[in-house]
Amino acid sequence: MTLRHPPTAPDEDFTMTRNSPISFIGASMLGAASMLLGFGCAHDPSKELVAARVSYQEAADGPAGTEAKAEVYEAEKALARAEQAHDKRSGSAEEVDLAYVALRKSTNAMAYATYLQFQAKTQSANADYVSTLEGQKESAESRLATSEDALASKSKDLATAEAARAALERQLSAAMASLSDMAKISQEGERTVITLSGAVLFRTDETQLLPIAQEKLGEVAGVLKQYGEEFSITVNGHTDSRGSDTHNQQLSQGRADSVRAYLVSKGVAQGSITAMGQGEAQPLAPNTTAEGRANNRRVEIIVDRKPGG
Amino acid sequence: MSYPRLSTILIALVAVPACATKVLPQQQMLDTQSTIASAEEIDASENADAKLHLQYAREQLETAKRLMADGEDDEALRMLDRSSADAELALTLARTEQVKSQSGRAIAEVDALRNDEMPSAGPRIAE
Repeated sequence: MTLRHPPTAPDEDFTMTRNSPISFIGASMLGAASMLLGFGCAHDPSKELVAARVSYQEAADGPAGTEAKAEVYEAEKALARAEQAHDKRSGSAEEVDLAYVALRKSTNAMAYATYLQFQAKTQSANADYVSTLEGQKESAESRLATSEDALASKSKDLATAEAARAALERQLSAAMASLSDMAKISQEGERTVITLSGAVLFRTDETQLLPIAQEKLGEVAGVLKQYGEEFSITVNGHTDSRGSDTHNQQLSQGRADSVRAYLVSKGVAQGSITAMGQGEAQPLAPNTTAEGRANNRRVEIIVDRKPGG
Repeated sequence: MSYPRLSTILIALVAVPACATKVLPQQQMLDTQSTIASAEEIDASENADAKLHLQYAREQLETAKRLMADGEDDEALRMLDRSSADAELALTLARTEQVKSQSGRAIAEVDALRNDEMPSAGPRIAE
């Protein structure tokens, strides 16, 4: 706190007068001479009293007047004593001393008001701290509750999806089992390969599906279409080595296209299924025997689970 | 604002002098010494005004003792009043400095807490 009135130093003149009677007499003579020469009036208040009056007024009119009433009252009483001393004997050491005390009392009242203001700020800040902390706690609890709800919902959804997937897997397995009399089914991780003999699906050198093949492929389509976008399906057509490469390529592509078209016509998503003719390039067995060539004439339906599906 | 201390009361009880005219100054002197000690405990040096008034209080207390020893009771009493007033002012200023620092720290802590506050986003569950 910056004092409006610089504190008066311990009154050196006052101290001197008590330690040195000669100096006291000298000071008195000087004072009398000053009065005779018109440098001051006998009723003029001391500078300490003037400062005390100003300071008291400042304290009474400022925040201390309402926030530090007891301290201002003490200052008022101290100032009254100084005024009495002034009335009794103007400029006396008693007036100076009492005014000195009054000035301190007023300054103390103002300082105490400032003290109370900072104390109130501290209490307010502490209350803010607690309320902020409580708010953060409530917010965190709310977020936690929301997260737990979301987690529970996700868990439920996941369980439902898992159940649906398991049911689908069972359905697929059952359907695959029904195909076992006309197809070879192999499982490699997420990949399922259904291998259909060319003799079951097509007549020699033709690309049109036989009626029995349509019936069996209809069962396959019934399962595949339920997988929807989660799976990609590739239909690969293969031939044996008889005939030219060009012819075999065209024949295998035509047969793959026929199978694809039929599956799409039965509800399998068009965007999920592709058809490729592999010609005679990927034989399963040597083409030197009739049995080997029969095994090589085939259509493979490859079902892959899409990444993240 | 007064600052009575148990130690002051105990010392006063033990040190009650035989001479009746010395009772009041001695009690006031003890009170002043106690206030000076309180201001010193708070470390009035943190505030230049408090430090200055504490110095005044000490010096005037010594002067008051000397005056009492010389039998200048009235002057000694007034000097003691001055010392007491400076001591109280020094203590108030020191306490004000102290609570001002506390206030600054408390406000800074609230600000820090508010700045650390997590954004009130939705649940932290990956969608």
